[in-house]
Amino acid sequence: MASERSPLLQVENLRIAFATRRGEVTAVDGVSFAMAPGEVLGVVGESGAGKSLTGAAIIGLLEPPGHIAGGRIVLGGRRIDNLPAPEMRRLRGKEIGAIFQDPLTSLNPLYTVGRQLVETIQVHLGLGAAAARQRALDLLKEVGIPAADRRIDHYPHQFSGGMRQRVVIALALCANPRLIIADEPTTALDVSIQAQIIALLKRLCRDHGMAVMLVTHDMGVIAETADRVAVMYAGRLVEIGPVRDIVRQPRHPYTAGLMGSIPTIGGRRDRLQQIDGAMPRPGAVPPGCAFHPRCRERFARCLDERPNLLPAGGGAAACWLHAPAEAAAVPHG
Amino acid sequence: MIAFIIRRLCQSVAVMLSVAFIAFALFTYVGDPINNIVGQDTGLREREQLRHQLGLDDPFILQFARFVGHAAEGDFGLSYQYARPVSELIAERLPATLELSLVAAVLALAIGLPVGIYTGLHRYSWLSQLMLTASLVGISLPTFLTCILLILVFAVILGWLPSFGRGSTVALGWWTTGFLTIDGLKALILPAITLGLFQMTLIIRLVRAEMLEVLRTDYIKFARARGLPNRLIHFGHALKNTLVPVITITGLQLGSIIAFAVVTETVFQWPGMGLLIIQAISFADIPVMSAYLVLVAFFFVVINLIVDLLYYAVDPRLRIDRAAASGHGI
Repeated sequence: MASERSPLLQVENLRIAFATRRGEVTAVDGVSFAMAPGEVLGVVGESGAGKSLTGAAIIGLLEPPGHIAGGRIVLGGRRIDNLPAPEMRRLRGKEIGAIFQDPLTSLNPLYTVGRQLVETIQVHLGLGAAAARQRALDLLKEVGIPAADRRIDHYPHQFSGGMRQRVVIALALCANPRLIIADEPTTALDVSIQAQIIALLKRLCRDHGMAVMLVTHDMGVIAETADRVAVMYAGRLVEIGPVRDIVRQPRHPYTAGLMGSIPTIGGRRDRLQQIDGAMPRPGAVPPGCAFHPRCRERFARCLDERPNLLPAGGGAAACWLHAPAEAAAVPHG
Repeated sequence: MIAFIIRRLCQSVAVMLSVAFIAFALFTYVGDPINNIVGQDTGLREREQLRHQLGLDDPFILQFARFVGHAAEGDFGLSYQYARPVSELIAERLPATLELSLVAAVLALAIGLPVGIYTGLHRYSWLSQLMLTASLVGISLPTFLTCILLILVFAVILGWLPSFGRGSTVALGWWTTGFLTIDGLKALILPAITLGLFQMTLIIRLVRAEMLEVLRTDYIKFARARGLPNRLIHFGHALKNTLVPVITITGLQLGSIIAFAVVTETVFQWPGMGLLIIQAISFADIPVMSAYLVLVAFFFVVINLIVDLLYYAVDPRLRIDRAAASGHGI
């Protein structure tokens, strides 16, 4: 599944749990994947599937009572999930950048965008005031803010939503991080603006050689942007593989259901397909495969034995249909 | 910006005029002022003469206009009680009250702000819990009780601080100050603590609540994701965002401190306006009462104006939005 080059990011068997009054509730369970330098990995799934939590864990911003309860996160050969807070703080912004969902609330309303850029640049790069401002200006130009030399002294509320998301991206780029966690970066934007922001992200990714972990529930965005896709369900990774393979021929019944529920312009279908039932809440995940109660292709083994990622097509799927023995017995179409 | 100030000034004038009207109405409807001036055995003729002399038989509007005209010059007439110009009485008492209120307000801010920030940042520490519990006491004890407890402990039992009066003062022109003598400073401590205690606890709780709310916002999370140090996030980004409500409440509270120093001044026999007004009320000294009313209203109006201007300094969104709104608003 992973790229053969030395990976930039390795997540191994990550488990995220929440301490509650009734004991620990596991929200993300046994997630493993790797990202190569410069790669765009799309992470999809329903709300509550654990996509955003996985991103927050990587950047070290899980909100208590959530915490990493097991597994490892390795960035560029260095284990980062157990770093002390001050070191993790230095890593954030410098090695790993973040882009949040809502550009309207991501910027401090009381400071000019220039000031917010300059402070971030100075914290990470230790530049003087003039050099930092010049870099801030260059970044604003790079993310496509028109008349950047004037706009740099404007306040966030003077920018439109799309422009603000560009500023947020510039802020994430301040120290040239190797990895960007983009958590639903286009969800809060108009469709026409979404396309621009995605194009911008793609260009920056190419120019800077950054890897981007693109968390979204918009398969369209993924298909357009990502190199590989990871599909999450109920806190588990159910399928991962090259985007073309997964869009054309999903190997996990859940992924197949997801794809089937996307409306196509060419298709003359009256009703969209949907997957019956709902995703289980954390703490109420059934034994065996988490998807089995909703799965049309389930068989005895799915009910009590949890599948790990098994090679399937160009990627891997956590589904017993792809176990060598079962594959022979149950034909899969 | 200028349009905004002019608009606010017009509003202030309207407020002052309505307060002046109420103050003026005191004269007309609270007893007969002539009765207060003359003795019981003064004849009707003499009374009528005095009434005419004082202009009390003029039409209502004329009297009101005269009152406002005089008030604008700081002339509120003679006190019934002291038979001296009210403006003189007030000028004597004003420095005492203003100094006391200022010290109380500074005390409330200087302790309330840091404690509020601390309890907001360290929500679950035992020190925060302790301070919040203590602040609950401060907010629930009535002022007169705090006064008496403080006097009991620090003046009677320990004998460290004076229990009443202002100590020795130094005159700077017409302004008398207690700041320049040790005696005067010592006398300030207890009344200032009493007066500032309630505001202090209010500020603690307000700052804490605002801090907690701001720390949950996306821009604070994003500031963390940018790798900014905690100190910069807490004091650079979070604190400034809590300031608008804090300024509002502090401003209003400063007005209340000045206006409601009455109880504290009475218990500590502080020779300020609060003591003056209590005496004036028991004597039905209407010129003093109405002057006090107008003066307190004036303080409130000025403080509110300053608070509004401070919003502008803090929040850039107001600068643009209001400027744009006033463009077609006026």
